[in-house]
Amino acid sequence: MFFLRSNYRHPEFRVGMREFQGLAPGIAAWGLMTGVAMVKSGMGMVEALLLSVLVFAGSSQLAAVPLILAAAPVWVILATAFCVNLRFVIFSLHLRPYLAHLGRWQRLGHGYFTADLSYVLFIRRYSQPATDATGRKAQEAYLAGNDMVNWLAWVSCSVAGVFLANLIPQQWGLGFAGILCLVGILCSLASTRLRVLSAVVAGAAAVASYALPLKLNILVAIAAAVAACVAVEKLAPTRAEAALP
Amino acid sequence: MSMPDWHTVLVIVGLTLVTVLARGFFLISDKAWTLPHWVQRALQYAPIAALAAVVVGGIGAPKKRPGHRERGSPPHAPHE
Repeated sequence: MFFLRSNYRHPEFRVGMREFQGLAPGIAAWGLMTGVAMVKSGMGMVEALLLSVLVFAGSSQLAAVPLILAAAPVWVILATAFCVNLRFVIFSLHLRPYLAHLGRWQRLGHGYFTADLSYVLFIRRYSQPATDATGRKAQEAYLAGNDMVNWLAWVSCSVAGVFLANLIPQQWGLGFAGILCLVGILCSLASTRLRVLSAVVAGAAAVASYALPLKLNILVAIAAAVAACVAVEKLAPTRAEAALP
Repeated sequence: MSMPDWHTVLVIVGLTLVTVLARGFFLISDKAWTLPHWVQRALQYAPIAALAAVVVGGIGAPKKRPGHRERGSPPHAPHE
C-alpha cells in the first residue's frame, strides 16, 4: 500500500509511479466519465463522491447506481456488483504468490488498491514472484507505486466529474478516450505469439458475448483466451513459445 | 450539498466491502498453498486477455444511446 513508508521510500516505488504515468490519462478520462454519469443519472453528490472514493471500481459503480436509484433490494445490488467485479477474483489468484509473505490485512490492502491497469502493469514487469526478501520488497513497492498513481488519477478525476457534471456533455466520449489510452499497453503486452492469440481470442469472445448481462462478457473472454492458449501450448509447445520477430 | 440518505450510505459501504472481497478473494486465506503449475502458466495469458476484452468490447460494441444515430445511417433505420 502506497501510504506505508517502507513502500514509498523504496526506489521501485518511483519506477512504478513513472511507468503508470502513461496510463493515468486513461484512468482520468474514465474517472471523469464515471463521476459525470453518476450525477447525471440522478445520484446525490455526497453519495456519488462516496461511491468513487470508497468503492473505487468504476464498472461496479455504474452498475450499482441505477439499482440504488430504483431502490432494489440490497443483496441484488451487492450481488450485481460482485458479478461485475468477477475478473478481479482471477487477478487476486494471480497476485497471491507475490503477496503471500505479507499479513492478511496487508494482502487485502494491496488487493483493494490494485485495479485492472495496476495489475496488468505489475505482471508485465514481474512475470514471476520474487524468491528472496529483497526481491519481494521491490515488487511490493513497485505495485504500490502503480496503485498510487492509479488511485490519485481516479479519485481526483471522478470527484471533478461529480462537481462538473452539469458542465461536461456526455457526448464527449470520455469512455472512448479512456479505452484508446489502453491500446498502447495492449501492444506492449503482445510479446509472444500466444499472447497475441490470447488478445485476439479475448477480443472476439468479448464482442460475441456482448449481450451477456453484468459485463460477464469480460469473464467469458478471459476464460476463452486462457483456454485457447493453454490448448495451443499443449499441442505445439515449442512454436508457441517463440517470441515475435 | 444535501444530506445523504443513510440507507444509500450503508449500501455504499456494502459495495466497498464487495470491492475488497473481489479484489482480495484469493488473498484472504492464511493457509500456505501454491498454485498448480498449469494454473500458473494459464494465468500468464490473463492480463492481456482482460485488457483486450475491455478494449475490443468497448470499441467493437459501443452502447446504444437513446436518440443517437450512427452517422450515414438513414434517418429511420431501425437499430439492429
